Amino acid sequence: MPLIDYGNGNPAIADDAWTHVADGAALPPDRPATISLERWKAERDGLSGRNLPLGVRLESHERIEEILPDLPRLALIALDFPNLNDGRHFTTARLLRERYRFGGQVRATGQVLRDQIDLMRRCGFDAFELAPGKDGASAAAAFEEISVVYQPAADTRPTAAQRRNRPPEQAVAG
Amino acid sequence: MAQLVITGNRLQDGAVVWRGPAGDWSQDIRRAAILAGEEALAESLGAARLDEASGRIIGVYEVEIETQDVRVRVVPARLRERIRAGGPTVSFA
Amino acid sequence: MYAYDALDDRLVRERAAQFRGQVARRISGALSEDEFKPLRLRNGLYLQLHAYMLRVAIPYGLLNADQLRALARIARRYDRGYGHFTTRQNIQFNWIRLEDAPDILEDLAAAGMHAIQTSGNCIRNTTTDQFAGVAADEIEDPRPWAEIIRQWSTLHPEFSFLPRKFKVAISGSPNDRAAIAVHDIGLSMARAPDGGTGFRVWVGGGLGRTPMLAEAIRDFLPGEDLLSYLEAILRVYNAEGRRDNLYKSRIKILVSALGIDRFRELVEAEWALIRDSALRLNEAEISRIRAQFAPPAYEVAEARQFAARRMEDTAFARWSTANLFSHKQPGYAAVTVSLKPAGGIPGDITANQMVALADLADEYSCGEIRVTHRQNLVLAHVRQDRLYDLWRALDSLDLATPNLMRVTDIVACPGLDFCGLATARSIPVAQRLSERLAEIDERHDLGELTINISGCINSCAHHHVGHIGILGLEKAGAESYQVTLGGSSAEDASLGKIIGRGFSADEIVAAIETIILTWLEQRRDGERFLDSLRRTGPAPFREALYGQD
Ligand code: SF4
Repeated sequence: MPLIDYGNGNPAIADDAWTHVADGAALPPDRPATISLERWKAERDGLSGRNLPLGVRLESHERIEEILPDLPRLALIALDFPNLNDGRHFTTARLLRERYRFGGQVRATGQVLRDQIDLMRRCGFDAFELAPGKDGASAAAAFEEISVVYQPAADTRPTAAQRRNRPPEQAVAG
Repeated sequence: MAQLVITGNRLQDGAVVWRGPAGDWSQDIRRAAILAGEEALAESLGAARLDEASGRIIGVYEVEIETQDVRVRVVPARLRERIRAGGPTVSFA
Repeated sequence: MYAYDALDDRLVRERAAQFRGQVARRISGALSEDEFKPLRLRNGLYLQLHAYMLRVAIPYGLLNADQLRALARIARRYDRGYGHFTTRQNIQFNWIRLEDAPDILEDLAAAGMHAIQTSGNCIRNTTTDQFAGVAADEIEDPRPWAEIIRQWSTLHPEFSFLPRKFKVAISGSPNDRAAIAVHDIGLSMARAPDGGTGFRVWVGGGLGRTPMLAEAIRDFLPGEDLLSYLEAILRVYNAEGRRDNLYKSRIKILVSALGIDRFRELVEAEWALIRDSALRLNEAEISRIRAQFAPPAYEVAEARQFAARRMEDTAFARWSTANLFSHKQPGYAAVTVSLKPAGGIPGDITANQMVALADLADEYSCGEIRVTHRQNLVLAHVRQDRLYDLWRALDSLDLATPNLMRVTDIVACPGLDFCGLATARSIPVAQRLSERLAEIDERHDLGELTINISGCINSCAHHHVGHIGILGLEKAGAESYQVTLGGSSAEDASLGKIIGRGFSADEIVAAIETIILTWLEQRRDGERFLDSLRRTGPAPFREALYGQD
């Protein structure tokens, strides 16, 4: 599954260091791993001795608010998109970044298509597991397609209104 | 047993097309292959779905036609399909 | 009116280029239809019965003459020489090829237009009063605010995959000409005690299968907080709205399930957290946008000639009584250009008419054209002493039917002649009705009486809020038309009630005629149909239609 990592401010096709571990399966002894929200809630105390980075996966109906106190222990939150129409985690990602100040990786998983990832990035996602069979290299171009944004979001791009109303000496043409 | 034809829309221009006996797609419903029986339908639909998967045709499905005079005229049973076959019932512009 | 700056211009061009890439990937097979469909819908491209249909956004219904000419060129070059105006102040082209769509978007971008978010489960075109900036009863011109909403909602990263479509309407006046009560969010301009501008906010209105009128969620919202409040509502909806059932996914269902008080609590709690953020509008940006809606330079016009012409020419007098709206500038009038000739297709306009009308707009109305949510057009700034010349020109184009808000000013969706979702035809019913009812109106002067015809329960023609509403259904393989009486989308908004069993395509015109003749027996001096109905109730109509059974 191609992974696009935008963690450094540039999209890169990356090897995935993480393993998504199914419920009931053992955690790998040598690799960072994600587990489901349910499992996290059941096992979080027992996992406190583990020295490798941990992540939690949320299905589209699950709420990050359930584990806010745990965020400092987590290095990755994976938000699942079961289909093209379920946009709930666009909100989750913004809240994670803008309200809960989560500094780890926010990863989009599931039906993730090239044509959504720029919007996802604006909401605070910085890693994208593309849907199976999709070409990661050509997808990375999606971040370049639209250069004007109208809304403040989780990214730091200045909005059109901010660019327009800058003091004249800073204004950039167009 | 109902008599059926297979239809869809062409990807490139959205035009209504009907599936002919040789697997060709025509805008003229008179060229459509008329299918009777589950087996003939399943076979043709299967082949039509391949054209859908390859992206040439979208939204493939079967349409029931009126059984009288099929050698003279092919008339879908539902008004919606009659309008698809014959165009809008109003003159425009 | 608002003119794109370099940033707006760049965005629509980039968007057109992006869609060109998406179409190419679809044609090459890299995208499946399931993957492509939400993308094309977000650019206004539907697959209808006979071809693709492209819905072009006309933000808050406002066009300049060159934009109308650009639409005429598109109609000629890529379609069959005409377009269809909708109840959401947009225009649709019915015969579009997928391959041409990227070129059309590019042509639109060159004219400062786009088709962004005219479909799909996202925030749609914000609509407003066609007399904005002109009406004397206005608290403030709502169009700068509608433009602010347009920009904020365009490619909104968080709200591009909502449970369902989302529509905002804004009225500048307490007399609601924007049907705000039937929108997901309705905004009505208001003044704070200190004179500051803001809005009364309504939420959860909508038609369709479960029609509901919006409820008030906030009595006063300061203008500078508009976007943070909208974002709070949308965020609650995006998180909480139902996604398991298409018919229960609009915000109205969420509002009614939670109750308005609980819904308000959620919104206000969210709002408290984002109110002091970059969403707060700054005065510089509001002023920049407001300045672009400054009134045109009016001339001193004198009214005597207008009065004299009215005396001389009864056809002109009739038209000017029916189709003029009083302008706040003395000596001017706002003219409604009817797209409802008897027997015509409601909302249709040919490319030739578009070009001629663009020229008339330049000559008579500051180069500006507006689209109404009843599928007509408006020339908003016409000197009264030039009305007669304008009327003659419009008449020669078959654009001067004197029927605004009258029985032949029928609102109708494309219905089963074009629309892939339809269950019955609407256009032929509208045509037969307008021919028949033109005579009755001529004889009896029926006054204000609106008829709206939808070709399926999606209710694009807003039949629930027509004084007489007609809904086309399919019953046992045949078209069947259900009639509702008593709807209104004005400030006294109400939903029509079903009068009884439906009528076949052959019966429906006679049934409507029976309703109108029955009303004439009940009518008291100059009463509107709606007023009589509210007084008598439905009983006399039911009896006339169905007898004693
Ligand atoms: S009301 Fe139904 S038939 Fe009419 S345009 Fe809307 S979806 Fe189509």
